[in-house]
Amino acid sequence: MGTEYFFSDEQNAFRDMMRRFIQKEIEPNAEKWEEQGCYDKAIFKRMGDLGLLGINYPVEYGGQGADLKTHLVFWEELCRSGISGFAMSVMAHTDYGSASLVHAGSHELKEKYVKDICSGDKLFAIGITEPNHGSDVATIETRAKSVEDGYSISGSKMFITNGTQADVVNTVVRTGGPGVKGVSLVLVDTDTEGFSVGRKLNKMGMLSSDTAELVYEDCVVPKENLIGEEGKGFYYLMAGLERERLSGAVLSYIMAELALEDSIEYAKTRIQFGTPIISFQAVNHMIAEMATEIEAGRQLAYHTVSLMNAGVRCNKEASMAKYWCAEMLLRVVDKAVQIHGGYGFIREYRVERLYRDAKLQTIGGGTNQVMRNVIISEMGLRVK
Amino acid sequence: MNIVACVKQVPDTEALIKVKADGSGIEEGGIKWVMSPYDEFGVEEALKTKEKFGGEVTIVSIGPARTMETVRTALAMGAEKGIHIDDPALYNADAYATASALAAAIKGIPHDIIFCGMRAIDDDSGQVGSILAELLGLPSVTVITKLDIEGSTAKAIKPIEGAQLLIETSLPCVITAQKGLNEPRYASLPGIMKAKKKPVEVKKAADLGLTVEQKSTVAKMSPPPARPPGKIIQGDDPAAKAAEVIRLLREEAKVI
Repeated sequence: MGTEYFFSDEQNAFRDMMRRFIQKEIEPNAEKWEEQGCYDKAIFKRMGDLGLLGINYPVEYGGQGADLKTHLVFWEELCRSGISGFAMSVMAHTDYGSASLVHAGSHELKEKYVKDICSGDKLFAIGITEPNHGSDVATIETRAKSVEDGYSISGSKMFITNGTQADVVNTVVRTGGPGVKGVSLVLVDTDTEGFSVGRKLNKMGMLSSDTAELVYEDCVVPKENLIGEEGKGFYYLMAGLERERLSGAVLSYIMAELALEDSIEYAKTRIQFGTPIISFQAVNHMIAEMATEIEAGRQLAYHTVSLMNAGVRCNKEASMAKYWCAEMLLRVVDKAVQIHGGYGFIREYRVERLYRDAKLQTIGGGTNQVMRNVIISEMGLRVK
Repeated sequence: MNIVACVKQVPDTEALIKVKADGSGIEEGGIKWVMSPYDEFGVEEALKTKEKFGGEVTIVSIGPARTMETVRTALAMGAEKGIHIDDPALYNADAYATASALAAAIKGIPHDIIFCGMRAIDDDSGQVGSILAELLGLPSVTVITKLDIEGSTAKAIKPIEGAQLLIETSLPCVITAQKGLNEPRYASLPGIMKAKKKPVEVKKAADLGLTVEQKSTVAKMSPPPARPPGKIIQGDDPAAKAAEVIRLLREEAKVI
């Protein structure tokens, strides 16, 4: 890959370990998980045993206390499994669903939940989006009413990754008045009375991940399940967004890299007009473009990692990396399927799956349009 | 229990091997190096033995600076410490010189049981474990797929054609591992992070009081003959083409 220079010896050794694990225990499940519309939940426990689920969470709470580059190695190799839905589900657990808890939760709450996140004993999901509210988080309607023994939550959540299998949903609720200052985060155990899975949603791609609509009907959870303070939920979420956007970029450029690898392999062995099609300039120029764009995307992501590791604010760069890599991925998978011709349209070929999986990358975790808004805002050019 | 596991760093099984033009060895550029798979079984069994009876596992390996990565891998899997014998005189040593160096290192440390892979996947000699046992004056049981230790007795299963042998011997002894003995664990992330701080002694042959003596040398290395290109039989008449295939199989390939 030629990226070893960017990592320490330990991180490169960790990559070897990850790659072996993924090849041996994850990749063989691809067809089964895609077919059944979900990974097998037991794999989380296995990953927890190997110390993979809390890589840069504190040792005190069962994490590994490693830095972001080590976490990047984890993301990259996880995504290289090519089972992108599963990779997204793992990230929902290790990052999106749990980052705000680790960032702002009380010691007791972290003691209670973060250990189980790291061990894989409890599967996490993040419940932000609602049927009527997506990018506009400040307007969410799910209500958490203060009652005698805690919060009573009513409302519904939409497009929730890990929705049917999660043990805990980090739920974005309204505890106060309108606007961002009324938003809080509350952990909801999914065995709580009043919580139910409305339905499992059928998707275009990312089939190895379950996505669901969740319903809360007077679902009462203890006060202690509030993350940090009331009314600060939005800011706690924001604190994890740089990382989330970065991980989205990683998934995109790795998916693109897999599409490129498959295309090269195919173009070298597919004979037309008496010669491997890679000898046609029309084909090998596509490959040159794919490789160039992937490299550019990766370097933008690596630059963001370097900033983040140095403690420099990089919301702009993370947003750039997320949207650019997602759009780059769409260009790359389009070429990959084109190079594969008819076979690229057939389920047996991985590029067919990558093509379907790719589209979510421009939508999930903040649409590409929202990313552009963030960039403009970070550049100080937002007109109110 | 004091447990020793000997490991060798070899080219990755998926590496493309190119023999040097002068036949003196292989081109090492671009090769990814890994622990020989049979040695991994040995390390895993060493760790399981430690987990059952307590004690510590020492890794011993011979090779140039890059060999340290393989020692660290074993430490990341859970071994306590390592000895890395780095001496140019031993880089392409034969089985005897290799075993002599291992014996010299192991003599200096307490050892109740020593694990080796049954052979290294690069030179396929399969002799080091046995010679090592001989030099240390210990019994050896080779190519085993199951091991039970009771008190100071080791009971090992060795598969042979159509049967298996149950072999008993006394500790200390040398065991060489065959596939099937166990399922080697991954070096976990916490293991990898801890491995950096575990002690590894780097020694030269002289530090071990050893004068390297080889019983054999590789005179020349040559690649296997290139596979001849396939032959496509042209023609329109399937019967004639089939007849031609049969003629070629009989007269040229001489397989029927």
